[in-house]
Amino acid sequence: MSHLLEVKNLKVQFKLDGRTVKAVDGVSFHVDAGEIVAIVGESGSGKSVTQYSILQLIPAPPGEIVEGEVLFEGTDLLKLDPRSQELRDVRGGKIGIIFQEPMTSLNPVMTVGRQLEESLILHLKLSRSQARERAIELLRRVGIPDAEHRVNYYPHQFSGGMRQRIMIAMAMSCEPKILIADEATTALDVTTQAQLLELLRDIVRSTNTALVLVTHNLGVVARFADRIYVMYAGGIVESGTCKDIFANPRHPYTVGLLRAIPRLDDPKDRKLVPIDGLPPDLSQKPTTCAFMPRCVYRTARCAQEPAPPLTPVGPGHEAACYVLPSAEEFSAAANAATAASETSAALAAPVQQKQTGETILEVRNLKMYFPVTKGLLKRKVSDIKAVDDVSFDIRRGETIGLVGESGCGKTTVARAILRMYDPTDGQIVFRGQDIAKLPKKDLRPLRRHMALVFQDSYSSLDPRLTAANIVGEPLKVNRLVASRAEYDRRIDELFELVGLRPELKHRYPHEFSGGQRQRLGIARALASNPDFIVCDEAISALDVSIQAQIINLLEELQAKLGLTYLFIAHDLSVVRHISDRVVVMYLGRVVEIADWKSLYENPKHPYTQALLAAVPIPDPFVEEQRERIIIQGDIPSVMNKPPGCSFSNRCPLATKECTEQVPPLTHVGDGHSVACIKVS
Amino acid sequence: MTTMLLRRLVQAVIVLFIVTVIVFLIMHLIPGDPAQIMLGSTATQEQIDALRHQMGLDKPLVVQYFLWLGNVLHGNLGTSIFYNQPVTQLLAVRLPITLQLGLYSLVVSLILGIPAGIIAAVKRGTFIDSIVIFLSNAGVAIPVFWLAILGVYVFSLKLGWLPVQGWVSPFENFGEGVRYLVMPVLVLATLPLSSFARQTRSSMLEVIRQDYIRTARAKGLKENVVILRHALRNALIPVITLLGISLAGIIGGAVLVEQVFNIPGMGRLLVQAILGKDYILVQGSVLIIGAIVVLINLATDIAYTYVDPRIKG
Amino acid sequence: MPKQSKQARKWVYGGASVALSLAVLGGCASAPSGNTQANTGSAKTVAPQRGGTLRMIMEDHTDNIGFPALSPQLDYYYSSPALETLGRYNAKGIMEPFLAKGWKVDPKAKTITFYLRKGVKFQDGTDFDAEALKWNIQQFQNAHRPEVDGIKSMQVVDKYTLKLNLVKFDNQLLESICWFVQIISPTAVKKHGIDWAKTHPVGTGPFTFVAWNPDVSIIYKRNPNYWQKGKPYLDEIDLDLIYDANTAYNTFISGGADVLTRASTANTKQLEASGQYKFNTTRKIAFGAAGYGFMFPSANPKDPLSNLKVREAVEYAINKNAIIKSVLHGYGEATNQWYTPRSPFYNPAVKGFPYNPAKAKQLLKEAGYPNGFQTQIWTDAADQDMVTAVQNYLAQVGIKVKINVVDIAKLIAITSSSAPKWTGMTVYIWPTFPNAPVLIDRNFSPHAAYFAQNILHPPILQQLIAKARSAPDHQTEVKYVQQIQKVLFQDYALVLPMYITAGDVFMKKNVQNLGMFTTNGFDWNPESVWLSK
Repeated sequence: MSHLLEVKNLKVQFKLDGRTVKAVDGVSFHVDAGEIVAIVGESGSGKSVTQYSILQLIPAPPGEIVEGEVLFEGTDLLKLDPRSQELRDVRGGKIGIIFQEPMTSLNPVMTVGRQLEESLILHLKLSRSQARERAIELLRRVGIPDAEHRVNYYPHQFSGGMRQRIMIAMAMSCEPKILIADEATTALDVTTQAQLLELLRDIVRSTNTALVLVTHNLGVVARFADRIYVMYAGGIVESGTCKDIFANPRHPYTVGLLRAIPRLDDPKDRKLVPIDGLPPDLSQKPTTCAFMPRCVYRTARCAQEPAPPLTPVGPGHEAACYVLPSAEEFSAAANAATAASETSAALAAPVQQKQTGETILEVRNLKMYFPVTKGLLKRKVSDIKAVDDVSFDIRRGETIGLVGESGCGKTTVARAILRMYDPTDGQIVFRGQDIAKLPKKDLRPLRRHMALVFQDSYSSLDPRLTAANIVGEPLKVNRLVASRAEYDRRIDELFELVGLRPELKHRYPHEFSGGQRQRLGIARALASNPDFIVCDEAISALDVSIQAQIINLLEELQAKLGLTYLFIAHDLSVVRHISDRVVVMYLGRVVEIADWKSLYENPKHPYTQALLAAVPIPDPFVEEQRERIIIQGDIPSVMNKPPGCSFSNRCPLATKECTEQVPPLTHVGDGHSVACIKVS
Repeated sequence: MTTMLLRRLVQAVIVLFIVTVIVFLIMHLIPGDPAQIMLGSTATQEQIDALRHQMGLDKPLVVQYFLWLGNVLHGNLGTSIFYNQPVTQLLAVRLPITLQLGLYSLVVSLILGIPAGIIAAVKRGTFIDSIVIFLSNAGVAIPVFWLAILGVYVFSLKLGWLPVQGWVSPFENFGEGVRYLVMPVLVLATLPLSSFARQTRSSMLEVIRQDYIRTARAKGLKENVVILRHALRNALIPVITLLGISLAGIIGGAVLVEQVFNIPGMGRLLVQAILGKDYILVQGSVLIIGAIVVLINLATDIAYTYVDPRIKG
Repeated sequence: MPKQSKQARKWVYGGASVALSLAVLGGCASAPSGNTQANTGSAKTVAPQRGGTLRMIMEDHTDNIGFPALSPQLDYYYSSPALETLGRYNAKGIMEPFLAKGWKVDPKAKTITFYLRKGVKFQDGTDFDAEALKWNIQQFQNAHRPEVDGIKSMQVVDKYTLKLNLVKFDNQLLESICWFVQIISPTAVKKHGIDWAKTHPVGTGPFTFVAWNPDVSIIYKRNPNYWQKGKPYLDEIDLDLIYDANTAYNTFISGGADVLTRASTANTKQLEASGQYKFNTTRKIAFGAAGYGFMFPSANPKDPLSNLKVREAVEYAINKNAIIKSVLHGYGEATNQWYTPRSPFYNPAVKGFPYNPAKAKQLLKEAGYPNGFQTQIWTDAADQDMVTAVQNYLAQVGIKVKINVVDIAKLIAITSSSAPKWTGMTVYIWPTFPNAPVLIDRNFSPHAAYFAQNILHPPILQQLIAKARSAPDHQTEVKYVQQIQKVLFQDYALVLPMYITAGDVFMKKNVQNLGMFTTNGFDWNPESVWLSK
């Protein structure tokens, strides 16, 4: 039986700086009509390049499709000239693509209407006015309210979620046979992500369109995919049905991925098992199994023979591995790895039962307003209430998770605490002293007790400084070392502490991988011996296998040094895994505070409930049985908060009184507080 | 948008005001007494004093400034010391010439520079690209003065194709006018042309890499539609910034080109006025040039909002 | 000489009447070894031919070509095709009748009587007569022009005779009126006003004004009713106004013009060497160039230069010929007085102070400065090289010079008679025109607007100037001017003279009888120019 799309032995390479990067190295897969196929892999695995190559959309040069076939409806697309009419008919006509970045994938200087019409006129040969009508209809279908007017809007007038809806409309506009969604929801907030994926699924199901989901998010895959291809270092290492892959993974990499990610339904004491090491440099890809250097099951055969081909391990289930360990072996090895890392941690410093001490930080009624100016004289007309009356406290040695979607004010809270902003009002009591209004010079002695780990480890490290200088900077600024020798010794110590070899200290940031750079950032934060560290999305930019390494590192450091963390993240599974208590924010206000257990197992605020429901769990069996609460609409901008409870316009429980007063944060027992009049 | 334009306008007026103050101060603080200069070496002290009084030079500087400003607001830029004619009248003859020169140069530099930049970007790394890069770098690096001399030497003296100097209004005699215009316009256009080509090329390259260009290609659009409809308008945004700067530069370059090609425009008038310490003429001319530059910037801002919808509101 | 300097000098010295036509017309270059073609001579042997347009490149600086009472003499170059004067200087510097048929000067009766040509008509058809002349002189009086100072009253004796009654006799007045008062049509001015007149010359000249395109050209066409029958020969004269000297040169060599009135030193060299062009040079004539030197602060007791011996020492210390050779590439004539040896005013008895550093040191010692002293020179940027050379020579005798480069406006301010006394030497430039007594009086009178506060005014000099101005005849005037030069440059050494500049005018070989730089450096004769075919 012939498939709708069949890719055979695709090889794509990029020539960069005299090196040849084999981005896609012999990939074969197929897509059948109406099915949802997921391509899973970490960054650099070649999953996106594979999809772009199908339509010859990779930039050439430097990219080059070396060999392979892409059979679509019996035609080899790779044989077509990229400028030919035939290929252009396929692009956007028979195969639609939704790209990752909704913020940049739409042309900023054309109205969305025109961008939609363009495809319709081109492929469906509609007239201008027909195209307009159809564009409006499409916008309506993807859930853009007031589509008649907004068809004339420019992309910047839409939120990220809305833009991605428009991208979906665009990709679907010409009723393609295949829709490729390349990390289409990755950049979006969880609730939006959930909405969009549901929308996407409904559309493809109703039109019998095949959907190729390219993603790194195993949860999304588990929830939506029929079949899965797992990619690693430019090749497919395992393929099979969704349930097969999750229930009975055979390739060590697939297993590693599943073990590395925290799940919303994990037991709390579960140790994440990171995949040690880094993916190979694809310009020097070994001829042997690419995963071998990181594989715990490797044998002599793996090191000698060429990379293993995909071999059937079950009906419709293939894996590329010589060893193909069984499920039992996997769990044994996992336990061993956990034990090993625990032993090493135990040797360094005995793991103490986590105990929390006195309150180290107390935030009381914190307000952070930014003025909005208007008119000729830049008169202040109103405030953006980025943080509005937020209170919580942190005890020594605990980890507080601060979660919420974009615009909720979580980063602003962190910056206000670190006094990168001057708070508008409220108190921030740190080590017994209110620092909210403290003059900058009096802050200095306190500064060394707090530190920040940034999200973007690349842009936050000065590219002209060596790693040692970066890490050592706080030592010098705070005059924490007396001599050169002590300085050097302390730097070596810090490097070792975060798991970097001290020999690397003379390198520059670009010579480190993303995970290593994040370790550098942590080392720098640790340099002044702080008690309190703010981790602002500190792991969000990392691949899952690396994420686990950093999470584990943070946990070990906390145990060893008795650190207190304020852990800001949008990934609720990670927060659940690491936090003792969790603060949920929505549009500048705290809606719920509780210890992790009550919050995740017994969320009270409708927003928290919706948020948790939106997070996909990487397990198709669990996903099948989950109840879906999909909240409607987008998060309003902080400037246009609804009156009363900010969540009232999206809340399933909302009544008129919700719009009349701002619900206070009320204690409902056991350290669990909720800001909702319907709950308490 | 209206608010933004209003704000720009107010800023422009303030800038103009500051310009007038500076020009006024400079012309009054450098040594030399205009009355003395006017009367020459045979004048008696009484004559000089009388003229100083007549010209208001014996009043405090602040009073002089506001008297001048008051006149300006009534459309009276004063009477040139050297020409003994109203400044407005002097400018009325010369300004249109400089504006023509500037406008033609701008049009030429846009018509040639932007397509050159597009072609170079689209054909990146090819021979055509190298040629555009080489020529535009040369155009930016070569001093206008040198270029003018070279042009005259080659095209006028050696080949005899074009006149050495002079000005014939193209409105009066189109053929002759164009012959006289070719060299000054090309010389004046060289720098902005090269800048436009460079900027267009680099911003095109930047834009071509953008996600929305990939989106456009993924729609199946023809390559030239992708380039002209999707890429160009985005790539033009930085070119517009350059446009404002270049226009100011063209006005400055016109001063030099007018000297070399003996074109009776504003630049020559201004140079003579400065050398002759004809401060009234200098003030008037600088005010007009300043107003033009301010207007150009205002126009650039409007063009911005047209090309880039994100700026509106 | 850079153009700024020329332009600026015009402002300084040309404001009223002391014009440096040379500076405007020729740059500072002249043939060190002249192969000048005496085109006046050759022109006479061939009958002039009618027709053609003369295109002449001029510097662009004039603002008034039609109302001479308000314009510097310098601008007469632009207006002479249309406007004429009562007399013209001959090559010896003697005023000869032109529009006037003749005149009578009576020193005793203190009168000057002009007898006008009959039948001369203005280009607007009105008659040129005694009333018109009177009106013209009145315009100069109304403008407070010093050239017409000392007229008590004017009397129209008959239609063609005008008699001037003077306050006291001044032999310069005749020359001034004959030279400065370009005759314009009173009717035209009365009809259109003075502002119009400035840009629309209406006179008795051989060409009528057609158009003035500001900064481009001034165009004249033949006046068929010209009073000299058979003249002019040309159909049209185009004065091309070109600001930049190189542009002017390029235009000329590309064939875009027949006459080039200005060229830089380098261009002059090239043009002379090419042999393709004829040229006239002020090196061959007596009047109309400029002198260059330094004014001493001779009356500032605080300055060592107020000591005559010190001034003499400075003069002896400088090797003028060497400086001219190195700085001016030989284009200039060393001088020790106001006029060149070709001028009747030249005084061979002035020996000057030939280069003699030993003597300079000796004099310094006698003056009480055995180790020299510190002084300064004020100059504009254009003459910086010259001044630097002087600085080197003075350093050799122990005089340390600080050079102050300032703009012309600052120089005016420093030397203005109302300013405080300055110290050190200032650049001083003078015109070598035939009206010597007036020129010298202007700068060396105690009432002069410039320099007066800081230079000596020896009584003998004042007396000689007065005698020269009241001399009854040219012979006597010449004698006194020669004596003045001796007092000024030798006995008191008030001015350190360096050199006389000179310029060339280049023309195509078919341009005949241009009359420029052949009799003097400030006139030409448009009515006699013709183009050979």
